[in-house]
Amino acid sequence: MKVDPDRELVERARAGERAAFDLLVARYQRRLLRLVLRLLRDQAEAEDVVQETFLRAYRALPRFRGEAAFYTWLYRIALNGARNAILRRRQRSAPQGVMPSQLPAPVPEIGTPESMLLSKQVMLAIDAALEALPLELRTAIVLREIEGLSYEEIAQIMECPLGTVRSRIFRAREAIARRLRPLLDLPVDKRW
Amino acid sequence: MILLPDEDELPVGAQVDALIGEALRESVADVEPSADFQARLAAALDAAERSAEGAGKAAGAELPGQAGQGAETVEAAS
Repeated sequence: MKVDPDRELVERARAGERAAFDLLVARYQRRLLRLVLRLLRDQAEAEDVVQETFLRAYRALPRFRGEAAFYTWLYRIALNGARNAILRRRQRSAPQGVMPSQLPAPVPEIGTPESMLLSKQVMLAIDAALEALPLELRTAIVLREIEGLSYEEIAQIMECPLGTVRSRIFRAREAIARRLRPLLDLPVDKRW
Repeated sequence: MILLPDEDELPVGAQVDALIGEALRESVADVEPSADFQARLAAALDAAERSAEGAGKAAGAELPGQAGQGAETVEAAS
């Protein structure tokens, strides 16, 4: 296991130094928000989950033994929070359709109208494909591609074997790629 | 704008994987906490801190003559 980059701050926070915990919050709040927002697609709801994540971590810090890195522990709390939020949504049976406005639009850049249109279509296709994925697959690919975590780190966070992580990420990419095939004019009869 | 696969470089599968990754990263590149998020979180943590301090004092008060025992009890329980 690699050295926990947060170890010193965690120790200080565990000793009761609130400022140390605030530094951990500053270090991870945006990362957690990106992750949870990508799963929930609702900024206000994602912020609630992130806030609850830090509160839970703060309260549980005396019991944190450092067997896993602090950030993997924190991500695990956040993912549990996101999962619970999704369950609550389902229980409410409220419409939970795609809300594109909740995610920032891609930054427009200079390009030909055709390439910009295609780029937008690709983004929308990927968005829709991600939304349609089972949560475990979505979580795995988001941790990999957005957070840049290793398969080992993802396995720790998702509490599953390494092979399961590989399989989930592969299946997620396959599902997204299927949606891209028509847009990119790519062969349909083989894995590229 | 995301970059689309270039036929002359990586195998198409790798290019598509790279495209997916780039698109996902771009989709959250500008995500920032809202203006009041920091204040709400700080207030919630302040409340949790006060609550923990209050619990510690209460634990100490329950054991007269054994100052500091409360904190040790929390540690032992963890």
